[in-house]
Amino acid sequence: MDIFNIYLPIAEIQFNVILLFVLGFCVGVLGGFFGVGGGWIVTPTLNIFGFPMDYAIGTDITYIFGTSIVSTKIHSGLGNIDWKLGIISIVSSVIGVEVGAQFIMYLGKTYGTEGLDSIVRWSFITLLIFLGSFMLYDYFVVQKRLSEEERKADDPKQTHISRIQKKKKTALPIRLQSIRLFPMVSFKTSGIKSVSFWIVFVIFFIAGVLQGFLGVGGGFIKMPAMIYLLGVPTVIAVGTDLFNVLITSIYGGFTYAIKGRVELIAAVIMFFGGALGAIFGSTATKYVRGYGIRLLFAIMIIVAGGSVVIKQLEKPLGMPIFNDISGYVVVGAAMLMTSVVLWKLISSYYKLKKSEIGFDPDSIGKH
Amino acid sequence: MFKKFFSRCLLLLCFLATNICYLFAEGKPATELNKTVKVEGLTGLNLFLAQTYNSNRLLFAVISTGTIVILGVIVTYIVSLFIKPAGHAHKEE
Repeated sequence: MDIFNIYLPIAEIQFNVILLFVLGFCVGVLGGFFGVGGGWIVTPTLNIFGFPMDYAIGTDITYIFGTSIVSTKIHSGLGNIDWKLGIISIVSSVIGVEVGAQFIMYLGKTYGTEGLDSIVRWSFITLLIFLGSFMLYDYFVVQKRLSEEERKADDPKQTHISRIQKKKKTALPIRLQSIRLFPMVSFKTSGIKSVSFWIVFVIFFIAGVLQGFLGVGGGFIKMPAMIYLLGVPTVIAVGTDLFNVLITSIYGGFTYAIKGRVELIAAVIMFFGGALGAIFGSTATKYVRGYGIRLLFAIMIIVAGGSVVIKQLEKPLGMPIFNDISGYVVVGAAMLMTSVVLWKLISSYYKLKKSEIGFDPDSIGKH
Repeated sequence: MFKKFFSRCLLLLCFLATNICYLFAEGKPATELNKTVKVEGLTGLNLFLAQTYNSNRLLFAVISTGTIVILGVIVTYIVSLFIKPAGHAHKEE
């Protein structure tokens, strides 16, 4: 495998080109499909395989910004981006990030570096596991309700009752939209007729605070926030979140490059893999139903939370190997999830073609 | 037209904000930020990048960001030629 190693002049290390390309591809697929940057996959992986942490972060942001250009364009073509919501989300979350960062400074002064590290890690774990569990719960509740509705479809009275129950259960976005606080805004692409600007601002401001506090890209916070609090359809949430990732990562990539922490050659190789992956990931949202995306996303963030728990064991047990295990868990999960998304894309495309043409491709060769 | 204008304005603002912050930043940067990389034995693109990195960090940042933007735009253009997005998104869950 040494023949695939190249010298990276800025990080001053040898690195495997194939590994960079495959990593870029996997994250491109997941980013395009879930509407997240994927820094939580790339950074630990580059670090495990020899990148110094600061270079891993800088290179990762630069690469993410490149693939988000491709994903955003594809989602834009699919009509998945709510530009107005995207712009409001960027402005609100940037203000929130600043508040979150100030809060971190305050905690750092009060509890010291080690105390702060522990607070941030445990908050991150709690948030990931809470979000993932909530989305899993929601998925199974909806599945159960849908199967009940199908069973009662013959009885009009029963169907009416279950519709009322459905309304009650999805009431949070409706309740938030009913708050009349001037100025009111509408989001045509997301199907939101009227909502107070301040509700939208507060949601993304809080997402931004969490982003600044946890030091993450924030895609995994904003995507569920759009779905569960504003009632944005899943694919629109994915597309709009990617637009958000694009703008914020341009800024991030530039500042890291000024600080000299971007390995451009690695970022370019990963970009080619990522661009290819983003095509598949973004296109898959066209074929996989919204709830399918939510289920896979929930599993992915629970695994991410689990990997941080494993990483936490490193210090108390005094075994640095837990750091590597944690990274391998994330990489393994990312590769597995990439395979699932690609399989879903291929099988759904195959099913769709079959139903559109009324032709069974399996019959080829049987006659 | 309107959304294009907005997104372009935002992009421009991000770049301006970064540059202004950089130009007006006070105090000496941390020593580690002034790190230089080895240029001995390097040739071609590697040599160019290493020299730019050592001599002008702002230019290095512009080259890094610019390269990714250009590649992103080229790939996006190629993708749009080959993939024609048909139909609409699943608005219903």
